[in-house]
Amino acid sequence: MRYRLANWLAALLSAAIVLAAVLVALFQSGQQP
Amino acid sequence: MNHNKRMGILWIVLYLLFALAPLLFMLVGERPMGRDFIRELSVAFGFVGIGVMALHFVLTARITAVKMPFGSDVVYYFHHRMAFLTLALWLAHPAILVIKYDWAQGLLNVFTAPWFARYGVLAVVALLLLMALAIGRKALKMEYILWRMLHGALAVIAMALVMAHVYLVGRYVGTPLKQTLWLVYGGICIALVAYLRIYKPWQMLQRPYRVIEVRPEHGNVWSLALEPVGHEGLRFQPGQFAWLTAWRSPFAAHEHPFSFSSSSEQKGRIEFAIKELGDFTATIGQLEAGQPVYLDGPYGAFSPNRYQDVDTLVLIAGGIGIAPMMSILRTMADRGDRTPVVLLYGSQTWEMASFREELEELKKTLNLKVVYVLERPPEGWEGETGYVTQDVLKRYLPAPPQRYRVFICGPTPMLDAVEAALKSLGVPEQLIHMERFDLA
Repeated sequence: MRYRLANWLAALLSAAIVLAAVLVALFQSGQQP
Repeated sequence: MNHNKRMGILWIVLYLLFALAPLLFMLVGERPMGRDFIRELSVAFGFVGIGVMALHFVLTARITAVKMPFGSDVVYYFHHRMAFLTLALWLAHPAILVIKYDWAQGLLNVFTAPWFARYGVLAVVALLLLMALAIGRKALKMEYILWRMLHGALAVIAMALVMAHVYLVGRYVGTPLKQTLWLVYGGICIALVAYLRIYKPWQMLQRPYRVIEVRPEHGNVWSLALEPVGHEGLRFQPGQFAWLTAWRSPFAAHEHPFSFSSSSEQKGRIEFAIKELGDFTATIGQLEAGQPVYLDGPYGAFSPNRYQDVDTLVLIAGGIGIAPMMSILRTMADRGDRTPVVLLYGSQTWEMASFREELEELKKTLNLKVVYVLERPPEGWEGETGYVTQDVLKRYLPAPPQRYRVFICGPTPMLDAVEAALKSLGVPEQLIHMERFDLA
C-alpha cells in the first residue's frame, strides 16, 4: 500500500515538475525582444 | 486527519516547492531576454533537475521528522523512483541543445569545450556513474560500504560540478538577488550533508553503547545485546530499526541498518538479531563484551504500535525477518498483551529457524500460534512445507468478521509473493504492512 502510494506520488510529482518546467520555458520564450 | 497525515502532506508540498525553487529563481527579479522555446525548455529542465537532485540530500539525510509520516523504507523507495526523473532531466538539458543546435555538439568535448560546458558534462557523467553503480552494485558484487561511500561522494561531486556549471554560464544568476538565493539553496544542501556526516556522528559519539552479550542463535544469527553508557538509551517501537556502527568511529560512516529484536519495554538493554550475510555481519560474532558501539535511530514505521484497531495480529517472517517479529512478541509478553497473534515463519530448514525454543516459551504467556513453513523439511515433518503461499495463508488467516493486520518482513521476493497472495485472498492493501531490508 505505502509503496504503491509512493509510486503514484513519484509519478504525480514528476509530471508536476516537468509541467512547471514547460510552463516556465513557455513564459520565458514569450519574453523575446 | 491525524498528525502523521498532516505532516506527510506538508512534506510533499515542501518537496514540490524545493524542487521548483530553481525555476522560481530564474523568474524573480531582473531576467535576461527570452530565447526560443526549445532553448528555454532545455534551461528549465536543467534548473529543475538541480532542484530534484538537491532533494535527494534531504531524502537520505535521515531526518526523523521527514521519515516519520511515511516510514524510512518508503522514503528510500521514493528516493530510488525520483532518481530516474533526476537523470532524465540532467540528460534532457544537454540532449535538447545538441539535437536542436549544431553549435552545441562542440560543448560535449571535455578537452576542447569552454569550462562551463566541461563542468556540465562532467556533472552528467558523475550522475550516470552514480546511477550505474546503484543499479549494478549487486551484479558487480561491490561491498556495501564502498558503494555507499562512492554513492555519497559522486552525489556531492555531481552537485558541485553542476553548481560550477550554472555559475559559469551565468545567464540566470547574474543579479545579487539570484546569487543570494542560490547561495542559500546551496547552503541548505551543504548543511544537510554536514547534518548527516558531522552532526549525527558527533551526536552518536556523545551517546555510546557497550556490548554486553553476543549470543549465537540458530541459523547463523547472532543476538547482539547492548547497554547505554552514561545516558538513558534510545526508546523505540517494536518493529523499528537503527543504524549500527561497530569497530569504527561514527565519523567513518561504516554503519548498517538492523531491526531491534528486544522488547521495547526493557529499559537500558537493546538487542539486535543479526544474520551473517556479508562482510560486516560476519564480524558480529567477534565483538567482545565491553566493546563500544554506536547507534543512530530509531527509524521505521513498521510497528503494530501505530494501530490500535485489531482483533488479531498476523506476522509473516522470512529468514532473518524474524528479528522485528521477536521484538513485537517480546514487547507483547512484557506488556501482558493477550491479543491473538499468528506467526507464519518461513525458514529453509528446521535447524535454521532462529528463536524456536523461545517461541515455544512465548506461547505460554502470549495468545500465540506459530506456523513454521519449511523449504526443506526434515523427514517425518508434518507441518507446512515450501513457501508462504496463498494456500498456506488461506489456512491460517483469521476468518471474518475478525479485524486483523498483517506485518511481513523478509527478503524482497518473498514480500512481493506474499503481498500478491494476500491481495488475491481479498486482504485490503491498507491492512498489509511490509518492511524491506533493501534500503540501499
